Order: sequence, then C-alpha cells, then structure tokens
Amino acid sequence: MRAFGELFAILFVGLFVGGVLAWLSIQKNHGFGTLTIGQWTAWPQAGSINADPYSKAKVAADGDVPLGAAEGIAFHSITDQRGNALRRNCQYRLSGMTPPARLWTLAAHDLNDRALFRSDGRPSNLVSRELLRESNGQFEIFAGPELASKNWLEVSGDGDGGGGIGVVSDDGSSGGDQGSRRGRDELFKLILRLYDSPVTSAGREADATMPTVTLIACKS
Amino acid sequence: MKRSFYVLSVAFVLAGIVHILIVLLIPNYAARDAWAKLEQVAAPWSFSIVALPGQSNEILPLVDPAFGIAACRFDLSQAPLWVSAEGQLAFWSIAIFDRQGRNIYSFNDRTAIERQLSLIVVDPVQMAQLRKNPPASVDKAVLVETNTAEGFVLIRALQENQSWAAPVLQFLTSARCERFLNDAAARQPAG
Repeated sequence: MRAFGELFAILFVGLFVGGVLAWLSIQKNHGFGTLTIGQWTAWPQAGSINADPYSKAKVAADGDVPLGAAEGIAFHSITDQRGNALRRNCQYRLSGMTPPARLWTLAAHDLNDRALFRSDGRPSNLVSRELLRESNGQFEIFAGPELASKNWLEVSGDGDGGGGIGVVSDDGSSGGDQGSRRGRDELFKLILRLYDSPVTSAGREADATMPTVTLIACKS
Repeated sequence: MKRSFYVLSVAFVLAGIVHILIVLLIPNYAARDAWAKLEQVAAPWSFSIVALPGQSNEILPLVDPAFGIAACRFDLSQAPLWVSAEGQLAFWSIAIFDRQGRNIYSFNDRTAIERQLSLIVVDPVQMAQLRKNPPASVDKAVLVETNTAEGFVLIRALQENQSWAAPVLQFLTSARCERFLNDAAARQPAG
C-alpha cells in the first residue's frame, strides 16, 4: 500500500511539476535565446531553424510568424524603467535612440498579443518615418491616455479590454472573474519592431541601444 | 526519511523528463500553430490576405498592425513554387516557413533583384532539373532550395500612413503563388 502511495506521489509530482514547468517556460519571457537591452526583450533566433527548443515551442504554441533575419526583429517590453508593469491608465515617455534600422514601428498590444486600438478605431501604433525628431535624431514619444505634443502613442486608458473594434466581442461577454480579468486587461506591452536592421542581418546585437520607458503619471 | 528523499528525487527526475518531452513535442502537436490557422482561412497555392494594416486581426494577432499580410501554403512535392507581386512600396518583406512554422529564408525589397518580388522555391531534385535547362524567368527571381516539402510563404507590406492604403492593397492582391512549370520540368515526366 505504501509503495502504491509513493508511486502515485511520484507520478503526480512528476507529471504536474513537469507540465507546469513546460507551460511556464513558453508563457514567460524566459531567458533562453533572448536578447535583452534595458527593459526590452527580443528573441533573435525565434522561428529560425537554429532556434532553441523553448523558442520553437513558444512560437508553435503562440501560432506566431516571427520576423526572419532579413525582415527584422521585434523587441517586447512589459515594464517601465523601474520594472513596474505597464498600465493603460498611465502615461509613459519613451526617449533615446533605437538600433540602426531602415524603419521601425512601435505598437501597443494587450498581454494576449492582440493589437490595441485607439478611441478612433485605428491601431495604437507609430511608424518611425512619421515621427517628429530632435535635430540630433533623438525622439520623444508619449504613450498613454493623455493627449501629448510631439509624438503621441494613444493607449486607451479605460482598461475595457482593448476598447476597440474587433476585440469587443471577446471581452464584452466576459462576465465572471472580473477582478483578475480586469487586472490583466489594464496592463499592456509595447512592441518595437525594427525592419531591415543590421542587428539581425549582420549579427550586431551587442551595440544596440533601445529607448528608455519612463513613467510620468497615472490616472486613478 | 531516506526513502521519502528517494521518492522525491525520482519524482523530480520524472518532472524533468516530462518537461523536456512536452517542450520538444509542442511544435509537432500544437493545434493552433501558424500552419493550422492558415489552413482554416486559405486554400493552398493562392495568396489570401490574412491581415490588413490598421485593422484587428484574430488570425495572427502578434503581427505588426502597420502591415498588411498575405500568406500562401505550398507543397513542393507537387511542383516548384513561384511567387511574384507587382508594385513599389516603402517596405515589404517575404519569408518562407516550413510546416512547423520555422523560418527557412527571408528577404526584403532592398535585397530583392531590381526591388521586384519574384521568388522561386525548389527542392533539390527540382533544382537539378532547373540547372539543366534554366528558363529566362529564373534570371530575375530569387532562387531558394529547400528540403522541406510543405510550407507557406508570408508577405509583409508596410502601410506607413493612410495614403499608402491603396498601394499596399494592390500589392497584396497582385501577389501570385503558382506552380512553377518551366519547359524542362514539364518534359521531365514524359522523357
């Protein structure tokens, strides 16, 4: 009887812990094959033939089509400079430089990877060539609900699950479990995608610099 | 005490094995990977527009909202693949993925020949046939040899702002995903 109990314990712990570890490893921004610059994380090898098993699993589970080496690279950030999660009711300032690239885009996505939409139904995104810049090439982007001068990435502040076209159907019906859902819905991530960049095509990952994300203020 | 330690260590070794097995098997069994999603919306050997710039997109949510995306599934065991599209945009790129969603090859408008999208994908046998009798249309195409039979190609077209909406749509609708049948290949089965 005791042996049976032990066997059961082994199987339970083994399958459960193994399964949870596998699930976690493709959910989180794990450290395998990542390129981290400040708050920004990229998976340069994701989706390539040489990718590590974790990246391959993550790409397959997400159903993602990662950018190829000649296309570009995507940097994700879910926190500000101090390591606090990005919230939709807060205003942030992005400043500095990006790595060399022919062009880049900045977009806000929810934590389920869907693009966020502005109040006018357009996606929350900016394209580098449309930016206003300082004379030295530096730029300042304000991301958040408050209208800002210069470059404004409008991120809907009401935390209603994207607040836009297309995502309403998914969130409008969610009744129960409001607390945890809302908490997750109010968070967002920034994705800065570099296109045709030597960071990937020439493997010059080390000398890349990314803009800093600083919290300005939050609406309560 | 010693026995429970033993039981626990066996359990954790099993956990490690289960973990590794799951991670390694996910790419083969993921039900919602890119191929499975494209299979639902698109017939093989023709481009379908998966995402339009500025619109919400439930199929491939993680792609850039500034881009229009067209995808086409192919099977090299049937014929070589020829991809082409007409137009000049600020930026486009194309990537070839295998059945498991791994990126085999990619290039963008600057690395293309004369900035035109023309791509031929062949397997090694088709490559040998093509070398024997190269048709003129191969000259201006990017020629990619791969061992993978099934896969898909994905075109990304940038819409910098609203004024590029029409060119981007035109570019994506002009994209052709065809079986490449040159004379040499067509003669091959008969002779």
